[in-house]
Amino acid sequence: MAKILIVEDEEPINRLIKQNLSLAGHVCEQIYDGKTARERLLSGERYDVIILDLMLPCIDGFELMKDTGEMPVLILTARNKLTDKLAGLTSGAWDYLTKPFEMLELTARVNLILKKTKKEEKTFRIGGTEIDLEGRRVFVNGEEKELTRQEFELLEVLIRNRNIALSRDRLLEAAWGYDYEGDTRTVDVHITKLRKKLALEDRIKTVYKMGYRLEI
Amino acid sequence: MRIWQKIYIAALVLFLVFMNTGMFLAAGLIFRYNLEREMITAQTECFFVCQNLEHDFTILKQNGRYQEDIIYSVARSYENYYKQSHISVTLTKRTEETETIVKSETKTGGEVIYLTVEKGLSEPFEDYAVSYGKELTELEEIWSMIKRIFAVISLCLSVLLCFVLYAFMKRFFKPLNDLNKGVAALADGDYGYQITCRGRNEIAELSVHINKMAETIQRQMEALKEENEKKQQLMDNMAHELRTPLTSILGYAEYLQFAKTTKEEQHEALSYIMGESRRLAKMGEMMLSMNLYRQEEFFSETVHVKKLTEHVGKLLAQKLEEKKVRLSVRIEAETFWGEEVLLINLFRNLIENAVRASKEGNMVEWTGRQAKEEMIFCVADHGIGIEEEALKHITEPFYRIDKARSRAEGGVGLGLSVASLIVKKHGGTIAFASEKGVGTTVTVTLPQRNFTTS
Repeated sequence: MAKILIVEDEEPINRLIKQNLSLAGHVCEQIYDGKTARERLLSGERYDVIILDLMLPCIDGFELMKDTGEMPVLILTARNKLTDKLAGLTSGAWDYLTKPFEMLELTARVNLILKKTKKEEKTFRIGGTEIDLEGRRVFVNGEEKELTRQEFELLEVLIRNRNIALSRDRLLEAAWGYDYEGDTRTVDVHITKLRKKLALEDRIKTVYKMGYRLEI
Repeated sequence: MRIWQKIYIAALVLFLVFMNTGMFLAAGLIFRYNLEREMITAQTECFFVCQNLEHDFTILKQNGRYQEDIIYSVARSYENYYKQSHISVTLTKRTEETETIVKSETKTGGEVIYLTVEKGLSEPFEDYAVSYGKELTELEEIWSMIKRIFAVISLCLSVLLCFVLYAFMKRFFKPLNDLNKGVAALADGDYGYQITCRGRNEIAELSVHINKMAETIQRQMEALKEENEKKQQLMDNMAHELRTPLTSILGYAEYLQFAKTTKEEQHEALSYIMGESRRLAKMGEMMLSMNLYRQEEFFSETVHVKKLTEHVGKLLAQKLEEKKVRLSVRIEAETFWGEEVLLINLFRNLIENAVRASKEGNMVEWTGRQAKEEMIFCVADHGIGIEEEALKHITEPFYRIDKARSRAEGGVGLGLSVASLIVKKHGGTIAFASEKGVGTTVTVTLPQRNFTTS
């Protein structure tokens, strides 16, 4: 559970980002203009990730970069020229995303930043099931369960993207890697095993025509 | 070969030819003059010898010794006397060819010039003649000396000329070289290069003109660049304006598809999608109409004020009611010239903005009056007003003073761009005056001059 600041003047987009990040359990603070953002940043409040739009009323994103200090910043903008990207990255931002973007990509990038800063969740609890993401161990009602390496990878992907449906292809890609040449049915098999071993039958949902979703 | 080299060589060759010819002729003249003098001397001397001989012969005749052998011995004494000076003087029998008076000729045998003078003696000794001959060794020496001196002078002058001419050429052609360098720099795109040519000659004039040309080019290039940047800015803005709603639409659609959502969330996501789609549609429509306004021919007609105000009023009725703003219309004319469809759009835009700026219960005034050769319209509100800095940018596409509010009310940031385009199409002007917190007045002036006669 990370603390994230969203600075974006477009209300629908700001809200959208917040909703998506909230799904993964992050706490978000929304700000719509440069001036308020500066006040918030200078108040000494710490954030694990700052999502910053460049074109902001009052003070623009590049200016705000000076106030972000050590906090990791993910720049979000409609400017997609190479010079803008370079300017964004050289200004000290950790990452750069241009509009329009896919929410999955945004959450993936946020997760990556959290992983780098070691701010990602270390344990995760769902019902009677407790998962130690760091130690790679799983307990159901206090009793440790053995999972294969692949099963654990899959479980981790589901946890990191909880409440979001992931297609079989995407799961395969995320848990097995790009170069894995397996059938998507491999995913089905592993999902079935996970459900059974961890008593997550009613948590890992099959979404019609989409794939699977871990719901909390 | 470079021009200066050509001129240099041509000048050098011509000068050398003329100089040497001149010197040669001068030498010849000097030689001839000397020769003539020698000739005269020789003739005088010969005449002198003749006279002496005649005198001697007369004495001989008086003494009765006028005999051939004595005559020759007398002559020989002269001969011997002149031998000392390397002159041969001989007494000869007069032949048919011997002229009575003087006959002189020079013979150039090899390197030696030989001068001979023959003179017949006068009566009563006309049977005899004196032949006077002289080798002109001295003249020969002078001649060769003159030749040598002239050759040396010619050579020296030639060498000197080579250098002096070269220096002059370099000097004369330096401006041209500078000019050339400058134009080359210009050709390479260095329009800031200033060619420095002093003086008042043609090249200096040319360089001044070229400098001016470069300045003009630079100015125009800058204007073009500015224009281009403006266009780029517009493109960037447009891209931004397109991407933003697209991001929302895509994002909410994704959210609906992948996330676990409640009914409420679904409704909200859908209304965002619809709202943003509408905005995109409106933006597309407006940009299309802007393009059309730009291309379409202006079609002027009689606009009936009553019809116009009623139409605009109808279009805005709902907005006015929502905001509880009253619209007062006072136009002191019945008809005027313009394109009705465009004018409806124009006033709708302006009044819509005025309403947006107004507070509840405010009044928006739409007035119009006929001036000399134009119609002057004003749309005034008593709303929040616009800051001076923002006034400058107000007609730029996608410029919004308060983005959030504009969006909330469905604006796309093109209204005033369209308005100013319509006014421009009419050949009129649009001006904005505003004071923060007091209100804004937009003045539109439409010329009528061109239409009154038709």
